[in-house]
Amino acid sequence: MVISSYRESGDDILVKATLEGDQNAFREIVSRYRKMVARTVKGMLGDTVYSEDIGQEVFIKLYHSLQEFRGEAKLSTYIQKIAVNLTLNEIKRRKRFFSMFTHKGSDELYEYDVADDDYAGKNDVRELVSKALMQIDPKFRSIVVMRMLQGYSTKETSEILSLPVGTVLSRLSRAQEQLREILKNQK
Amino acid sequence: MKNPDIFRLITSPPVEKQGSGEDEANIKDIMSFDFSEGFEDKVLARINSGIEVYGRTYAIEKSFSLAFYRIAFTAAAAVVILLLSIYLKEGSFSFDLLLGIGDIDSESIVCLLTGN
Repeated sequence: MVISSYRESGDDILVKATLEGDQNAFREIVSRYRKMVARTVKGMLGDTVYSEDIGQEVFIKLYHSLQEFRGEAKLSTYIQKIAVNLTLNEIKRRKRFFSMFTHKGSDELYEYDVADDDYAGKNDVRELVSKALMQIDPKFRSIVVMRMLQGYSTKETSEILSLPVGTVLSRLSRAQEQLREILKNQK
Repeated sequence: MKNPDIFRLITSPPVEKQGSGEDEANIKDIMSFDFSEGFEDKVLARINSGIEVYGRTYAIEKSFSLAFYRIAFTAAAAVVILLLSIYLKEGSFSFDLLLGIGDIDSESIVCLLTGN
C-alpha cells in the first residue's frame, strides 16, 4: 500500500508502515513529536547544541526499538520515556566528564551555552524559567518538565519516569519550593 | 503573560490536571521549544548512514574519559609498586627512603649541594 501523505494517519498506522520499511511514515512521526521531544530535552538540558543531538538520538533509538513497541501505551508516552532516559543519561555523563576537568558543574556550563545562543533575549520569561530549571536537581527537573511543561497528570508522569506516584508528588513539591526560592527575585 | 503569572503557574501547588486548560496552554505556549529546520532530514540521514547512537562528539569525549581513567589507574599502580619495592628492599618506610636518599648522611648532602 502506497500512502503519499501520512498527515491524517493515526500513530498505529505510522508505526506499522515504518516497520514495513516506509521512511516517510517515520518522517511523519518525527514531525509530529519533535516539539514534544524538544520541550523535554531542552527543558531539562537547556537550549544548547547538545540538545539537538539528543533530540536526534531519541528518534534514532525510537526507530531501532519500534519492533518492541506493542501499542499498550501511547506512542507519545513511549517516546517521552526514551527522551527522559537519554536526557538523564546525558546529564549524568556530562556531570562525570566535566567534574574530571573543571570545578564547574555541567549545569553551569549549560548556562553559558544558553547565554551564547540566539536564545538569549528571545523570550525573557522562557529564559528565566529555563535558567531556574537548570539550577534544580535533574531528578526534580524531569518531574517539573513532565508535570508542568508537558502537562501530564501525576499518574502519567509516574508512568513515564517509572516512579511511584507518591515520589512524583513529593519531588514536585520540593522542586516547586526550590523554583519559588530561585524565581522570587526575578519578578 | 507577565513574569509573575508564569512563575505562579510553575510554582503553584500540585493539583491534578494542572488547573485550567488555559493555564496549561499558557505554560506550553511560553515554554515551547523546537529543533532546527530540517530536523527530520537529519534524523533520517543518521539512520540511513548507520552512525551509532552515540555520535562523534561523544566518541571524542568518551575516549578522553577512558584515557583519563587509564592514566590515573596506571599512575596509582606505579605508586603502589614503588612503595612495595621500597618496603621489600629497606624493610621500613621513611620520607628519605621515598626520596631515594635513605642511605646518604646529611654531610654528604651538604657536600653534594655545595661542591666542597
